[in-house]
Amino acid sequence: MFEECVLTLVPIIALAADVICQVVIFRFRIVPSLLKSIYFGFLLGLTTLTAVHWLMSPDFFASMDVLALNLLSFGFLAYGYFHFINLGETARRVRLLREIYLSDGLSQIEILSRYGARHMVEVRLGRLIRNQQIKKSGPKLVIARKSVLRMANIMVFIKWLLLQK
Amino acid sequence: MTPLLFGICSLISAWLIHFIWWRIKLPKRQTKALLIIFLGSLVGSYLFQPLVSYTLAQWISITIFFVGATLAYIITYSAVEVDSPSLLIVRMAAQPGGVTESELLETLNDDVLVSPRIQDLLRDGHTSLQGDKFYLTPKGRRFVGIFIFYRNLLSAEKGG
Repeated sequence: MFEECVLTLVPIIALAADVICQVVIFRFRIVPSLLKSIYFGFLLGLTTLTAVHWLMSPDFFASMDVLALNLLSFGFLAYGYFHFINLGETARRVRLLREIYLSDGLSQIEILSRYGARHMVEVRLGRLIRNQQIKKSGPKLVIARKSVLRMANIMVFIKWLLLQK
Repeated sequence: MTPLLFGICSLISAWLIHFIWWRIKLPKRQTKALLIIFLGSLVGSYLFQPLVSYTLAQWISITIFFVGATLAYIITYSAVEVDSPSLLIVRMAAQPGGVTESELLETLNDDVLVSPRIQDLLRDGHTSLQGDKFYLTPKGRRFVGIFIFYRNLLSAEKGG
């Protein structure tokens, strides 16, 4: 009964391990990069899930379908957590709301002076260059890694498929 | 049918409803519509219990799987609905010969990147306009409060 309960809730247990690990690692700067802390958290969550299955399943190899379901569930939850962190790091909406929150009301001109397009582009460009996704070739910026372009093209395809834009 | 296969079939069904609805008419509040479709499909899948006879534990597993997948899809969809500046930069850099920083700044200006997001905040009820100033609504405070709390927990900077 206890084992069944744990195996049912293990994606959430693994997510909790992921989150705690990521927060501790980044807050205390055990790794300096937010992205690396997310990777470490995910690995710990994955390890936790697999270890719990190994210890709690009556027959580990016979319950592969349960493991697969739980792995996928944890994958989706961890992906959601990654994007939650990413929203706080990069989302324009969150930054705009934060600027208004810290003020006593802002006009559009005041908002743009605190957080305008130039700042947005410079921050993102810096991040893309640091992550070696884009590089400088003389005065021009070019793709460094094809994977990031593939992601952009997938988004374009999905947008066309769903929104016909 | 295993719970995994049942969960996948339920997700595919929800996605097909989403695809057909979007082809008929694009909803104004797309995220809300997606939540209705996917969570409605989850509740609808419970009606198959007489056919599949799953245990409570199996239904809980399917629910966790389905809710996780729904949240993951809605988060990904938000990047499809609104053009991400990073992906716009990548696509411009992918043009033959690349792009200069000044070309980027000329194309990706306030009218493209910022003003529409400010209007979205009004439309979604996160801010209100009084005179010429924007203020947070209680909904906006709750929303941004979660992120401010988490950024403080991580000892991270403002972001953006």
